[in-house]
Amino acid sequence: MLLAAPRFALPETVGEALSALAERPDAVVVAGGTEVMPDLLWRVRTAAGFVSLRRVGALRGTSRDGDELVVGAGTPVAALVDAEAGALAAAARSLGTPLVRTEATIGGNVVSALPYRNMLPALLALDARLELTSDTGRRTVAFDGFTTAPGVTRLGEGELLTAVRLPTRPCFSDYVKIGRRNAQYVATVSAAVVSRNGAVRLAFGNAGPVPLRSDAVDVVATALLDGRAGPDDLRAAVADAVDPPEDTVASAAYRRHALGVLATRLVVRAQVDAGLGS
Amino acid sequence: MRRPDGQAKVRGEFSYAGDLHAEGMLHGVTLRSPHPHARLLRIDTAAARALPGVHAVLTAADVPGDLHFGLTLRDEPVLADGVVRYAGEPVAVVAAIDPRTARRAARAIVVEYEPLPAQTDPTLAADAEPLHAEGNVYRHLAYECGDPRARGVVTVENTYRIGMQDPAFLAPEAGMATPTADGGVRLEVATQWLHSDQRQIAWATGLPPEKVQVVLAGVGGAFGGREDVTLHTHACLLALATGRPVKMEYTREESFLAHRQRHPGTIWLRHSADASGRVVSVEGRVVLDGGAYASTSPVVIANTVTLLQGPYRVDNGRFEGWSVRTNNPSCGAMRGFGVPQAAFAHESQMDALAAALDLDPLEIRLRNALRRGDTATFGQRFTQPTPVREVIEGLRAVPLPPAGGKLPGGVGRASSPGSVRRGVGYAVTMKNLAFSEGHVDESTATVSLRDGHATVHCACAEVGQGFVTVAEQVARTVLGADTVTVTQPDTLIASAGSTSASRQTMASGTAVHRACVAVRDRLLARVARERGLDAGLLSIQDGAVTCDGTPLVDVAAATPGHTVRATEHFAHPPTTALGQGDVYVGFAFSAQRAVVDVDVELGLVSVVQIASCQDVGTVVNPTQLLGQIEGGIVQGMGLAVMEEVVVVDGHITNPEFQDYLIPTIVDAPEVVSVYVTDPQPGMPHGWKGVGEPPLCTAVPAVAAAVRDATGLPLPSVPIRPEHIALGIGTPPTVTRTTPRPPATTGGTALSEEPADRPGTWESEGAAGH
Repeated sequence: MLLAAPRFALPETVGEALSALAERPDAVVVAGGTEVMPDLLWRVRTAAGFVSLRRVGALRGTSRDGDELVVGAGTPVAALVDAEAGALAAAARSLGTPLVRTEATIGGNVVSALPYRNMLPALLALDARLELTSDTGRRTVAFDGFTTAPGVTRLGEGELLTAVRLPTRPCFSDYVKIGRRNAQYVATVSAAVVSRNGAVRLAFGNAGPVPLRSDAVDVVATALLDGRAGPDDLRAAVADAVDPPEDTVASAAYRRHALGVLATRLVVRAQVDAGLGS
Repeated sequence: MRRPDGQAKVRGEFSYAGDLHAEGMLHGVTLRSPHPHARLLRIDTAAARALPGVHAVLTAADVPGDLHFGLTLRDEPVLADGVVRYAGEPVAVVAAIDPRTARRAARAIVVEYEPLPAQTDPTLAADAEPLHAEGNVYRHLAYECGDPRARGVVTVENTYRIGMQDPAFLAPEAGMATPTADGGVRLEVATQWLHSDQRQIAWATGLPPEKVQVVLAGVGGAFGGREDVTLHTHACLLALATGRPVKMEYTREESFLAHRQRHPGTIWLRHSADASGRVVSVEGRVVLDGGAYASTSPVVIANTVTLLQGPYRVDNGRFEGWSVRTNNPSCGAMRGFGVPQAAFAHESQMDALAAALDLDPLEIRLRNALRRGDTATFGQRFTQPTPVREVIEGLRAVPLPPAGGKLPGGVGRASSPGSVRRGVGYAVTMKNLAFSEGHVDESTATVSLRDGHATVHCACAEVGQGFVTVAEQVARTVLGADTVTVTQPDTLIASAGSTSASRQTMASGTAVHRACVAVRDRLLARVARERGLDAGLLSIQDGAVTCDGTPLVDVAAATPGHTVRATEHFAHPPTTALGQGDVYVGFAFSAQRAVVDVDVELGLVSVVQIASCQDVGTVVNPTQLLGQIEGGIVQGMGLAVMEEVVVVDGHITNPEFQDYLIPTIVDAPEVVSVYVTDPQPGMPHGWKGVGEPPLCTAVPAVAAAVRDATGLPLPSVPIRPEHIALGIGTPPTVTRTTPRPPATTGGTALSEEPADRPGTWESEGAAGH
């Protein structure tokens, strides 16, 4: 019944997918289905129809374009567990279970846009850009600012996320997350770091309604990297910058505290990598 | 030998209750209350009934028999009767041609509620406006022994909290009811206790019990959560109303709403000890939140209160407890049955005493260990093996694991070796075995043997624990059978009681053993008669009938084509009401050592290893025994560090496995398991129950280890990361007291009248002068 033909499109090219979407403006775009399918089973989401991207081969796989890595939006998370960027690989490895990683896509993670989604801090720290394609052409936007509220993005009507572009310039990057279990858990909070040429860029998950980073935090993090600031300074800067949720999983106070700890630890790892720390 | 159902389960071929199917069957769904407490002003089912494909819509008005059921008080309506008392209470049930139509019909039922204030604080419930004609106190009990005001040199007290744990069995509730030709109904269902279901279904349907046939369907775990009736009666009512088979199967969310959880509780304890660490007196007070309906709350509270003493000799004390009605989810049986709560509290106190006296945690436990011949605070003498010292010594002999191993936080990689502190904690517990307080604990089995093939019929529900293995093992051992069939349990044979209370190997295993011995003796008598031999010289060894040690003939060929059959019954010696003698059938003792690595800054825990030494009577099947130990330990560590049904204003906020976390294999510790085997009197081979103690002990052991790593008091489980990272939790109050010897000795005085409000006896002062 879910797959009733008039409501279900199975395009094989990006062009067909865009046409299918134009014909069914209310349809849910589904890739791996790891969010949409449970939502349907638990009846927390209804759908007027579906456009499945599963057979759009052009959306899968990674390539190089100049100094950017282009990751097709339909690339499964499992394909990224050995990515060169440490943050990307670590975020991919800690997502769900092997079965979920095989189905879940990087594009799905971005468009889902929930603040605890695994890949988002890594993409934000890595300063990813998003390739958005519509009938009228293609535009590229920064991931920073793409999410405007939990589950809400700047993706336009009739527009598909077709690729995630990541800078390949050498850097140290890493990603960590914490929860109440040691595997297969939604992040209570998460954080990612990129350290390049002595500058540190941090990003945080479930630290506010959208993936979060802050210039003020990065200034202090960079100072911590080269010894001009202490861990307490960074914790204070993080505590000021974040606005984490309070829920039955954890208090906002704990999340704020933990985000400061994670930030500090990530900068220390960057220090060690740069030969600056112990 | 291997588990008979093992291969099918591993291959995914085992047929669970959710796989039930019949030609022409209808699907039943349940409409549940969205409110924790509300008056039902109006139910209009006309629109639902009018939908095509809908065969029945039933409300309380359609229940032909007695509307009320329950394991103890019979206070729960089959379908809501004027008032709903918890969020998720069944209001109406629907049968339709497919689940989708049934769900649509359920949504089409119009229910007008008048929401009422929800009473969700158990400490206020006892004195609050009654939520039910039966009142808000399921049971209050209070008793004293010796002189509760006796004091040693140090007194420690604290209040401990235990969260609500879900049994979290993997296969949600499912069953299929089919009308029978005699006007009755046959229910195939995943359950723990067929005859209890039968009785309660008979009440509601108005049928005599013999017209309600209950057959066990494949069970995917139980842990106490299937001891109460859930969909059973609804499916039968729908089948009788429609004349067609009706299948019901809960979603995971419904499963959380519908079945009974472990009682959350608050326990205040005050221990006083002399300078050597000997406990002089214990005072304790318990409040358990029983939720909206009684279930087994009146029985569970007795376990918690009486076992507050732990496996230690306590001559002086007073103990009091309430299980109360609230508008929270109903609580009932779950593995441990009130004892994990007590164990967490008394073991926390033993560590607090050890710290106050600068004693080794095992040493203080050894100095207080119960011995055979001691008398419990509730008056029962420990006349059976009581190997408390032995399990502690056995545990002490297990070497500690090396440093290192998996880091806290697991796949999140937030910890590094430098951010982690190791902790070691100990716990020793006592768990009562089998039914208690006068509830008859019995089972019956029929065994037949023909040409070397044995068939075992018993109403013992196989829920994963491995009764099928034990039954086959007994039949092979006693009868020399080549092959064994354990038939699917049903109500055509007498009750085997519930698969709970660590009791089925003792009760049903013994009934099977007795039936096998009777069959063997009849077989040998026949062989002796046919061959003119003295039956007293015959025995069965290695599959052959032997005479004075010499093989005569294989069992399979001994009486060709002839079936030998016997039915035997077993009942434990009777128990009595509290204060009147032996309240419990027996006890098992368990000691564990947990080793944890804790990332203190983040509050993340990795349980590295748990070593266990358990009093098991005798090892029946080493693999299954280890399975019980490992499973119990993992479930216990789950309660210690992550598992909690979070209830806010009467609503479960996490009724699914994304937010109700149970340990994964990454979380599971290495388990080292050793045993004390001191045979239990009256049991074949001296076997005794093993299923619950490992859970009871793991909860306090893990908590103690996390305390050791962090130096924090951690008086609540589950321990949340923020309890550690932000240092949340009140430490025990330690008072140096003037010793006061007991004024009187011995004796237990019972009181069923509340002595005081639930809470602490603060006003009396820890100094106790």
